[in-house]
Amino acid sequence: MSSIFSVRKNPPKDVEGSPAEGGAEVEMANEWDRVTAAVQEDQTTGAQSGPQRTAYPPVSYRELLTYINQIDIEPLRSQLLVEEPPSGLFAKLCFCFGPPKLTGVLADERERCFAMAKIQFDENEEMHHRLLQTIFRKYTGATGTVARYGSHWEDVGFQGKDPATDLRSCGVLGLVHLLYLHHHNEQSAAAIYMLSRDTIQEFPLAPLSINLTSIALKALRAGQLSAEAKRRGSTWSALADFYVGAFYQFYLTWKAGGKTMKDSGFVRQALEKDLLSTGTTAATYEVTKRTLGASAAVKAEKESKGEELLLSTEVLESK
Amino acid sequence: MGLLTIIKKVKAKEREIRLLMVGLDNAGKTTIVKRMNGEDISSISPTLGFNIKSMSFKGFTLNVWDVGGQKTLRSYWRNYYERTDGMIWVIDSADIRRLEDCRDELHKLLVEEKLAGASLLILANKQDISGALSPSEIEKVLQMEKFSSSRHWRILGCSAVTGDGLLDGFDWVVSDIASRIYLFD
Repeated sequence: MSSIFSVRKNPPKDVEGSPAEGGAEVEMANEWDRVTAAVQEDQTTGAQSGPQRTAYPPVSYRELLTYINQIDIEPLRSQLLVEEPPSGLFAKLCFCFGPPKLTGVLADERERCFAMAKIQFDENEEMHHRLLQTIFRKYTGATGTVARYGSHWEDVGFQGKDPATDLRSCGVLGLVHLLYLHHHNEQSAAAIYMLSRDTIQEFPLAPLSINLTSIALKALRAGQLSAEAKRRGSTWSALADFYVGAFYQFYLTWKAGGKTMKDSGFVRQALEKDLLSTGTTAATYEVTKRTLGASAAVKAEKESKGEELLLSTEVLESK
Repeated sequence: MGLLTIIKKVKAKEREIRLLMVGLDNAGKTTIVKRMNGEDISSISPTLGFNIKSMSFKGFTLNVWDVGGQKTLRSYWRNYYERTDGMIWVIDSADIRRLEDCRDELHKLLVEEKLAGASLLILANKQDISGALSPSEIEKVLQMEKFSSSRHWRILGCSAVTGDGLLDGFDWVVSDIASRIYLFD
C-alpha cells in the first residue's frame, strides 16, 4: 500500500519546516520568544518555569499527513469502534440497504482516523509539540515557540493552562483537524478565529473543534460519510471536509443568529442533530467551498431569515 | 395560602429537582452525569457551554444542568442559577495544582444570592487515580467552615470511571432537597 491519503487538490503554498528555513529564523524567533516567555510567566501562575525551551519548527498539513501515515496503529486496533449501525429497526433496515460498505484502502483509512482520535498528547513525541505550536502560531499570528503550559492557550480556546487535558475525547485528531481547518482556507479560518475572540460572540475555538470532530466521527461510524469517501477515494479527506463543513455551519449560525455562550448548549445540540441527519450531508460538503468573512456573513443572514433553529429560554421569558 | 405553598404543591406534583453541576474544567462533570444516566463515557468532549439531562432517580425527575468549567464560561454560570435546588461541585482530586483556584471559584459561588438555599454536594472525583487527595484532605483546602452554619452541604469521594460513590452522593443531595421542598408522604 502506498500512501493511503490522497493529497489535497491545492498543494500548500508554504512548505514550512523545511531544513533550509530552520537556522537563522528559528534562532531569531527563539530570542524573541525568551522575552515573551518571561513576560508570560510573570502574568501567569503555575506556568512552566525556566527559559530553556525546545524550539519547535512549524509543521505543514502535508508533512503531518506523511507522519500520520507512518504511525503503527496495530496496538490500537482492538480499541477502535469503526462502525456502528444506527439503533432502531427502521434505521437498521435502512443501514442494510443504505450506505455503501467501506473496504480495502478506504476501510484502512477509516481505522486510522479512529486511531488518531485514540492517541493522546505525548510529551515525548516531537510532532505533537510541533502540531500544538503550529496551531497557536497559525491562529494567533504569534511567532516562535510558546510555553507548553500557560494561560496563553486560552487565546485559542483551550480551557486551562494545559491544552492536553482538553484532547481526551478526540486525541491528537482534534489538533490535526484544527490545523486542517486553517490549511483548507486561511481566510475562513481567520474569520472563525476573529469571531471566537469577539467580546460578545466569543466561543472557545479548540473545544468547539473537538466537539465537531467528535460529531464527524459519529457520522463516519454511522456510514454517513461512506459515499463521499468512495467518491473521493479517501476516507480521511471525507472526514476532514465534513468537519470543516460542520465548522462553517456553526460559524454561519452563530454569527447570523447573534449567538453567545449563553446559547451554546442549544446551538451545539441543534447542530449535531442537523449534521447527523443524512439529508444534510451534501450541504455540509457544499458549504466548505465558501470563504467565510464579512460578505459571507451578510449572505448567511439573508438565508437564515425565518429559520427558527433554536429553542431558547428567552422565548419563555419574553412574554 | 401563600405563594410559597402553591409553588411547593406544584413542585410536589411534578417531583422535579433542578441540579446544577459546576466545577473547574476537566473535573469530570459530564462524565458523572453520563455515568449516572448509564451512557457511554469513553469519549467525552469538553462541554461547549452546557448540557441539560433529565433523569429519573428514586421517584424524582432530576433536571441536571451540566455547565462547562472553562474560564470564559464562568461569567455565564449565573444564567443558570435561577430555581436551582441543589448544586454539585465537582473536583478533580488529582489536580492539586489548581485546588486553590477551585476553592476560590467555589467560594464565589456560595455567596451568590440566587443559590442561597440550595443544598451543596461536593464530589471529590477521580479517587481511582493514584495521587488523588482524599475527601478529608480536600475539605481542609476548601475552608468550608465559614459556610457550615448557613448551608446544607457534604463532601464525598467518588470516581466517575468506576462509578464508586456517585449513588451515595446523589442519594444525599436528593434526599436533602426532598426533605426541604417536599413533605414526604
